[in-house]
Amino acid sequence: MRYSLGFTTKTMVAVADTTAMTDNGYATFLQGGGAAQQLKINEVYIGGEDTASTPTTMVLGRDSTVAATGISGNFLAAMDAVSTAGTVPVYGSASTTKPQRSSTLGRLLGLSLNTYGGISRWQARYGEEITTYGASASLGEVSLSSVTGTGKVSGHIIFEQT
Amino acid sequence: MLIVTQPTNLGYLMIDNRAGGELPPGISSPFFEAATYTCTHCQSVVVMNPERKRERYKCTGCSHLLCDNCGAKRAAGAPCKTWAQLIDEVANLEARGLDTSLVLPTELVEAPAQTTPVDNNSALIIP
Repeated sequence: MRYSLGFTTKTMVAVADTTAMTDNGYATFLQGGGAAQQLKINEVYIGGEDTASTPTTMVLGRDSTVAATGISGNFLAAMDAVSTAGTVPVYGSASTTKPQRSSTLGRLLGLSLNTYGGISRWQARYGEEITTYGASASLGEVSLSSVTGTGKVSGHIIFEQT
Repeated sequence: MLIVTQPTNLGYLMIDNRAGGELPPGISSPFFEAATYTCTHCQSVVVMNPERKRERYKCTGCSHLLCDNCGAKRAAGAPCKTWAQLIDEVANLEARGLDTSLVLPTELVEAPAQTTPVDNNSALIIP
């Protein structure tokens, strides 16, 4: 089952590793919907929406603290028409327990861009997707956040639930 | 018959800053395209620098290109263990109710998860 996880008009708040992210100050987190659920990310797209130059260093990486309780934000759309969908993955941009990017596994993919109209897109080779497993740290969640820069972004993450 | 219409043996990264403004750190051209591959051992995405002269480390165990960090570990004698193998081992241990921290690399047991159940055998966690 494939999904597109969308995020719109998020103004980034730069965050260091192992530091709690700010609600809606990061693009999104994506977490497995259960203890044995595996997600395979095969595309990440970010589009900048600022009206002035704002270099922003975005990274997709694993979280050493995963989001929990009070989760909200962003959009998830199924891309396959199936009648028996599995457990829906967990996603969002706000939560009571904030995600924290791992200091060792938090830089799986760098997607720097100037959000003054810049775009950034990565597509995995088939079979080389970034994988999450379960719903707990540090295998079970990835997040897309800013290391430096405060750009305004929208975009999507396409992934497959297995 | 499989008809290949475009190169599919690598991932693809595109960063387009042609709309203007200062280029972000590490980007030298307003329009940057590069092939990528994903390290099978740690799943880091490696952007293939076309200017690179050094040979990339190809693991003799999984027959795949590794990132420089994992390549250095492998060259120093570390065994080949792919991310898929790691997930399999964790899944098997979890299914049997056993502690998974022993099979995880040290960088994966850096902090307890908020949603992880209390570990009754925390002495096994590698610092």
